[in-house]
Amino acid sequence: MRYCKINGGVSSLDFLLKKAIIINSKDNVAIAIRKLKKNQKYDLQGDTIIIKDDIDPGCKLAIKNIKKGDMVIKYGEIIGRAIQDIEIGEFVHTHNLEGIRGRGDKVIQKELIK
Amino acid sequence: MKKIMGYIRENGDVGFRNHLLILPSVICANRTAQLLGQIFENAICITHQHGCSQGGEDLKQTFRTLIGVASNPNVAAVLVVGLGCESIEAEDIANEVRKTGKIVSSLEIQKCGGVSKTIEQGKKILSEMFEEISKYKRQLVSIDNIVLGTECGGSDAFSGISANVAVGKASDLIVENGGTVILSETSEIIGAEHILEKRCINKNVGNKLISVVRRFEQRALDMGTDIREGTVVPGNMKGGITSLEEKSLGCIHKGGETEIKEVIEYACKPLKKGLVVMDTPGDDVESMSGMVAGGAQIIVFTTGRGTPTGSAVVPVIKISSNSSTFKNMREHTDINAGKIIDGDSNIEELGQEIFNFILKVAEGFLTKAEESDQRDFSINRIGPTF
Repeated sequence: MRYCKINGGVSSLDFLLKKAIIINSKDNVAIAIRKLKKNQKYDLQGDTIIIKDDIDPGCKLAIKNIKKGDMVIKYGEIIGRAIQDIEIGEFVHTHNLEGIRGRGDKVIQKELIK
Repeated sequence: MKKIMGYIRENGDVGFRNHLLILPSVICANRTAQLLGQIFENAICITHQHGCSQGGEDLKQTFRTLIGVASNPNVAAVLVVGLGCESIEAEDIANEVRKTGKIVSSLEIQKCGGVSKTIEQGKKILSEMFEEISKYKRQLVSIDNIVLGTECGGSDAFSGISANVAVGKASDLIVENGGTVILSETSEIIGAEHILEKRCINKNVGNKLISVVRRFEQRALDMGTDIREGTVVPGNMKGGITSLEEKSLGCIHKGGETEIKEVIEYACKPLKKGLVVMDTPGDDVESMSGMVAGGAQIIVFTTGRGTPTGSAVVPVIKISSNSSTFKNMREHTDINAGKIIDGDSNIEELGQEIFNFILKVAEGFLTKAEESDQRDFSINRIGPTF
């Protein structure tokens, strides 16, 4: 276990066999450090986690089940909303997560409807 | 207090380079300035696309940026080259820069009677300036004179857990030693402003921070555009970043953890020591040029994908967020924060390494961007060209 100060608090940088990092204990996603292969199994704080997709370094995987509409948490903060149900071990990116801020597209859509 | 070697300028500012600068006041003088720069290799020539057909706050901002970059303490002497009929006259810039006490001269192409005659006069002026500034020697100065700019470009998902966090540690060390750190890039505060707001020294500064972020977001909406088109770019997404708030939450780590003393406009000089926020866009070169105009003498620049970018008159220290980019873009990268990801270093150790490297660069060690003469400069526009 390593420690790193993030956002003023002490958060754990928990290495899953140096394969992924969980930045903050509130997070429901981890970041892959190495390429993670589909169907590989890892120990996640005592539980077994099965990787559901091939995940490239730097990309996110769910470490909790996330329901459609739930907030996705990284750095202990909201990074967006799940647009479909996401299972533990699944790749999390633009296909199942959308940002909330800077959504000019939504404003533009509203303007078009007017 | 720790001391290092720097150049003490007439007005008491401290520089860490001793540059001779050729600066066009307007786009029409770019070619002349460039020709002078080619003849006179000891000088740095920067060009830009502005200086005329502008108005209001936008014109003021351009004027302020040109004065600021020429007034930067890393610059020892300046030759401003103008055309003669532009909005921003060469002599107006020269007069403002003269207030710093440095050697300043200006030439107008129309007054000289063409480019050739301007170059003849310019050569003579630059030779005299160079002879004079070559006499300037470094002296012992306190490290609280450092104004450090922070920047990130081509971020990936590692930036927020390695390079930016380690730079944040170095920023804290600069502040602890009495120096100034500028956190920039308003577009990359969107979604993380609530964290920074809590760290502002008082309510006024906090309100200013929020209003600057809202103004930025609104500017994009007024254009009827989606700001994410220009902020979360394909390279960011390939690097694992999904949303604007995710990018911002990684970016703000560069400022470390100290309290925010003030929030300043683009290209303005910080009035306070410690951590300050400058309203700049996410465009690397425009953002860095704003900080340089605000008096930053050194910039630390984190990158996930790698970039050759440098800055006109300021050494830029490039720090990769991962080891594969460090290897791939070795010729442009000074420090590898990927060591943290690999388990070969940690935030504290690398933060200290970056801090020590900043001091080494301040004393004259050349960064990769300086070695390759990567002298980028560009001015942030907030209005249309008429």
